[in-house]
Amino acid sequence: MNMAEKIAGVWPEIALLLGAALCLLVGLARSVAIRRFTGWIAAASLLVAGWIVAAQVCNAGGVIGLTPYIKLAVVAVGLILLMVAAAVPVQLKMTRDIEAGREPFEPGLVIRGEFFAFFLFSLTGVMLTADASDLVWLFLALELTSLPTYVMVATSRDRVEAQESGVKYFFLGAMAAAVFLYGFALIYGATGQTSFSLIVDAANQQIAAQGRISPLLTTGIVLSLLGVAFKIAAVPMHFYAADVYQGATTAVTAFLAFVPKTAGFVALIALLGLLPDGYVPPAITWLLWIMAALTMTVGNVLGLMQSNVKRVLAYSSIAHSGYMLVGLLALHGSGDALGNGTAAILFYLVAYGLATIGAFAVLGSLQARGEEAETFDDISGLVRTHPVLAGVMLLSVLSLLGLPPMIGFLGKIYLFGSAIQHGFVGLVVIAVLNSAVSAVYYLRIASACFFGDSEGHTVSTPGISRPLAAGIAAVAALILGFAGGRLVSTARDAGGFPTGRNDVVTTPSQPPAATTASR
Amino acid sequence: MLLLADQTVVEPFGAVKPLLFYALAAVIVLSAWGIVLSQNIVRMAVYLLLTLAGVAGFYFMLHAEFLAAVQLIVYAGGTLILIVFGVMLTSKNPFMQLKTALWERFVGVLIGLVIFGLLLFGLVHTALPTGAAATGESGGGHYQVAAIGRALLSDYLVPFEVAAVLLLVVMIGAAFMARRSAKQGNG
Amino acid sequence: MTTITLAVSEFGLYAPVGILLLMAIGFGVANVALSTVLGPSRHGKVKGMVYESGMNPIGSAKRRFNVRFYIVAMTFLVFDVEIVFLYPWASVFPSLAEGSPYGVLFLSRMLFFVLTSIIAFAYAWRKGVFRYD
Repeated sequence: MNMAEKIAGVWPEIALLLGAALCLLVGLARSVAIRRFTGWIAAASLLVAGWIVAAQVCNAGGVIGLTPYIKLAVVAVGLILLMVAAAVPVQLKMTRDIEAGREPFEPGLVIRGEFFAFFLFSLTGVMLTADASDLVWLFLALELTSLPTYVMVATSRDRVEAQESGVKYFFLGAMAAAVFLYGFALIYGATGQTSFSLIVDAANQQIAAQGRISPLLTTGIVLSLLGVAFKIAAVPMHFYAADVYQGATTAVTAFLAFVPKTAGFVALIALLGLLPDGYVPPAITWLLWIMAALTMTVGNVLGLMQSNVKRVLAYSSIAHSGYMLVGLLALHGSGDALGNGTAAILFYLVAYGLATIGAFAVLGSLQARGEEAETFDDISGLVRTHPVLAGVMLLSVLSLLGLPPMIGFLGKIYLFGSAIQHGFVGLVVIAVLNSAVSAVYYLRIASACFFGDSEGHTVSTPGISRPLAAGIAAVAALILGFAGGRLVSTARDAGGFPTGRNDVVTTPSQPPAATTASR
Repeated sequence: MLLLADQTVVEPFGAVKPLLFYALAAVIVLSAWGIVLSQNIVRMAVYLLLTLAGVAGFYFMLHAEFLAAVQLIVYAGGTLILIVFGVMLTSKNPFMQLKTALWERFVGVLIGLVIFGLLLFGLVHTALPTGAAATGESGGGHYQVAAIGRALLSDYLVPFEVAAVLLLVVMIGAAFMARRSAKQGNG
Repeated sequence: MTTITLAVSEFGLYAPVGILLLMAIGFGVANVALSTVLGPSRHGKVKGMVYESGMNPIGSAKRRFNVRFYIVAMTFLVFDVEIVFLYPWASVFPSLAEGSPYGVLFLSRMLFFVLTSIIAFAYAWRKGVFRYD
């Protein structure tokens, strides 16, 4: 890929960046009416970015590769997230006081533009991650995804807990970044290249010369995987998730549950794409196997013990990372979605994202005693006061649980199916057992909504955007669950393009490696 | 960059190279131990300075002058100041002791050993390039900086501009958070 | 040129830096050492007082500083890094051939880079980061 193509590929990102810069500057305006535009600017730039991606796909003959797939998913889910998050600046007391005229205007205290700017910056980071063709690029894109989220966590709520979790998130995130950056440095040291395609060439040469890739390259990839595991909250980098998800405001939690995780999985797919076709060192297979098994189990077992719905959903998001890690083991697959781990992960990301955002949006639409709803008590008997929200919550948890006809069911079928085709039967058994365990806490949420006693202190928050977003996410999860065929085939096409080899249009299907199939 | 391609590749520092290497390595490793073992955060900062300066020395030895200068300016100069500032802003007494529990030390040592084992495994079993192949054909000095400039504006253009955006995010994030908490603290 | 002579000249390049470093360290160490050895050591109330027209110290020096100093340090570091990126560009830009099509391209690429810091600066200005009140 030459420079001109690379620049042509990032026009959607440029649109988002322009939107972010506009949000920043418009957010400093003196007039409240002008400052309120920032949310709309963010929405408009997302739409423009989506339109550019769509135009690029049309120009390419309608073939959706991995990169456009991720970008379209980011735009679509990003719009839902924006609806969930639109009211975050108004939740802050300082902004409210100034906008209601109770305090004089003071640019240092108004929070409007920067929230949406950080929102767009982070989405830009995910898109750039999907574009990455180079280790330097990948690192910067991952950091661009994460840095804004640290600020969003710390500032989106008038509570000291939010700042505490922001600081925790930042320090652990910095440590994780150091780990995967060190891994990248070792990959560069072992191959002398930063470009993905050249690294694959170097690895192929190592195989030709010695029958294996050099242990230094393996070490580098292992460290990178461990560092990126932080972004997807996988064991052993999972411990921050519950605290940070609980400390942040619910809209930002929904953002954290989808955006950094998507970037993380795209990066993991790219990193495993550095391995030559059909060759996965046993060390990496084992690492992913153990990580997947531990992540699922830890997430689900700890999820059983929580009394706070946000923490339950945090552990559920850890568990879902575990399921998706199963798909990573089946990465180099044959064409159909059932054998192709990449396609299964791409499909599952959307499935998981819709369901989990739906659940968080319901929580964000409710408040109890002036605070956001977050405990089981708060949603108890929801069906009597807010039947629609209770229904949305039910659909969301059923999709997360993976019951038909929801989209989560299809997602799990494809993930586990691809793993079975690659011979990971033991891991799939663990995953299915874990899904059964997760039913306990998902159904606990649902039964609290439907059969609990309402204490009547839970009221809905003002504004229509959050319930609407919850409804859209749940309905999308339901409709795509019935008619997921189109999305599956798109994901399958997208999965046929491992990022390391963007220039190859048709990848010949490779039989799974002997090392992976032997299990 | 290509100036020396047809000449003998320079071994920087020639005969004293091993001596210099071990001296710098000793400085780096000992001060890294100092960072880990010290309980006083200001002392840690000083040890960190020594480590960073030692790494800069390695860059000089590898003939990466630009990188070495950046290491000294940004890390030894800037980041370290930021650390000391952080201490001055947050702690009531800069000479407070950082105490770690026994299990924390145990976990830390365990993680350190695992990573050490991983790196050792990678290094021992890999035939590393030596001599000319390791140092590469670098012209040094001005030519090197120009080559970096050309690479940044051609092959690495997108990462370069993304770095600028990243700096923008950092700047705004820091200004936003610090300004806000300063006001909250006052009012 | 043989490897040996090159190596020697390489060493010669860094020798002044090394000598300067040794001199600086030697000067500092020698002064402290000499004054402890040679100078008389007397302590007293008068000697511990503030010198001539200096202010009497109030409170302890070990106290928490205002967070705005942190922003100054942060701003410094960010612009520091930006300058580091400017330097390689500046050293390649004059070597481009006269009328080369890359001239405008290289300039505009750097302008985009600088634009981000201008936005950051405008934002920080409006937010009152540089204001001391």
